[in-house]
Amino acid sequence: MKRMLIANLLQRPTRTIVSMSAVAMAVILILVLTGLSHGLLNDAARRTQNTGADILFQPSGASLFFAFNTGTLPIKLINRFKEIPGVTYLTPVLVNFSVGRFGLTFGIEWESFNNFPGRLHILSGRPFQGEYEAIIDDLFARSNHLNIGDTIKILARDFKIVGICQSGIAVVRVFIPLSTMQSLTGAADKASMILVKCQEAGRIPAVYEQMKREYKGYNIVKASDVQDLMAENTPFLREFTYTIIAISVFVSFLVILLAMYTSIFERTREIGILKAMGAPKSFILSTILKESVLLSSLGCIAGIIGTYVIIQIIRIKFPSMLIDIPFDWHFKACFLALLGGTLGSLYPAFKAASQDPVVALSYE
Amino acid sequence: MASQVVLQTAGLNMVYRHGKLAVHALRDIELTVHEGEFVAIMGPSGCGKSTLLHLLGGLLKPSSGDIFIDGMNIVKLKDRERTEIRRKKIGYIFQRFNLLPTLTAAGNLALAKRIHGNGYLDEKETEEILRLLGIQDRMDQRPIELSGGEQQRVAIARAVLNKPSIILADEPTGSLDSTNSKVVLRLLRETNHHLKQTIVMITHDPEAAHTAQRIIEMRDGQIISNNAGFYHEAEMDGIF
Repeated sequence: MKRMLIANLLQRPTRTIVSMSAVAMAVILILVLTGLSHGLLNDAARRTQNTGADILFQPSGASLFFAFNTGTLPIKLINRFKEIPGVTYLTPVLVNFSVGRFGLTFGIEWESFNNFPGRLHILSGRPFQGEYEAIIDDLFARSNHLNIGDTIKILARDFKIVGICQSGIAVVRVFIPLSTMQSLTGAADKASMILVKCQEAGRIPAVYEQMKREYKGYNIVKASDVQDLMAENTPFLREFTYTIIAISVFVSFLVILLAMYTSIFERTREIGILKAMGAPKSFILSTILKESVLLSSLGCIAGIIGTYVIIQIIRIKFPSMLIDIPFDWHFKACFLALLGGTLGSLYPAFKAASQDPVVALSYE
Repeated sequence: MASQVVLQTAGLNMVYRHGKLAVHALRDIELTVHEGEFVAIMGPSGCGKSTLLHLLGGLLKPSSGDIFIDGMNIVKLKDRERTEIRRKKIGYIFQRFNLLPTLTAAGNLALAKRIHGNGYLDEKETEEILRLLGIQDRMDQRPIELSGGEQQRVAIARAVLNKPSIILADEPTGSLDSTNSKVVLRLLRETNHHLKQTIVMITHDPEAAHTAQRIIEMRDGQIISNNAGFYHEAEMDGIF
């Protein structure tokens, strides 16, 4: 049986390679897409959490995706928050989104921002001292070939890069002074959010509850909930991912269907011979199904290898793009591709099993 | 001649219908074959001999009549049960050998064993058959690497390997030259003699037919004669 399966696959190498490639493509699409969406979400969430803030205080209707937010939060709220028992540090952040290459920019108060555990670790250069100075993270610097002393344009102004900090600290890669951003965006004394640090982890629920109670209508989020909230609130990401997965599985289904159908057509006479030899329908059915499972399995292996080759290429070409494939998705992707391949071979298998042996034997 | 009946038909009719057109392929076929017999069915193309062979092998269902294999009426059986009978009791030899092209000769024999599931010849018996057929050194070759005669010998091995009680041979020499035809016919006789299997062979070649113990002649879907052939165990070597 094994010999027959392998011999059948080797007999038509082009068909085998094309079918395998289709399954591999489905696996690659599923894994890369899932990896990208998880990578982006996890990275954003992780880096938000990495600021060290325990609670994010945002205006009503604000998004955890900071790009959608503007500065409408009065900074003077900080003074009231200081009175809440358990609160240690507070810092305002004004966010600006640019469609340019770096996306988000944080306007920060150097002193208060650096009270947080996730403060900027300057790798080279210094903190900003002047109005139009910027700090960028090392990943952004590396991928854009920027160095200390170079200039980048933010909000239509030239900013001199004075420091390069370690990446992964905050959600953004470019930082400028808060006052400069407020002035450039016409948001004087305003922030997009206030980061809150509690004295100890045990105080977080109480601080959170008090804020929720006293500041109804504001968007108050515990940092530990950010990842789940992002996944839940990302517009259409889950639907988009599932749509692509469904299309990928459907493509592998169609290709295997076509490949096995062609194969059955080519092997009509062989099926007649098997039937004349007394092979029951189940034998023919299982032979075809096993062949497609073998084909799909090889496609899955090729797909996983292909995924990691593509990830390496993405990492080299776009170092700031993060891909994070959850381990269980390797199995899910293979299962879905196998399912598509096996379902695709069902019709040809049943067709083969129910062929009239006399007609099949006389097939030229 | 062996006395036990292994194959019998009664009032066998086969009508192919193409729309309103009805073609009578077989009419009232009454046939009895005994255990160990070597029977040749002769007749011109279109006389119904292939249809008869397919009916005897359970590949087709007759329009009317009965077919008994070892006393069991296979017409009354379900498709799955007929397949079971075919697997356990019948070995096929085809005109065009019909070996699976992707497998070696050994692979083809292994597949036959795999399909049958049990009751096949043991290793010693298999070696003996392969030696008898003269193909023991050709087992690693694919069909395309074998001559027509060699392919048919592998096909004979495949058919007899599972010790079926009946071998149905559909013009086994039809694609062979005269030398190979004689070899194949001799081998069929030898395996018939050696394994005591009943052979029903259809052919349009009178010379091939005369190697059988009995020759049944067909025309227009009917049996028109049923005579003894030249085959006698004592004369086996003399003919070839």
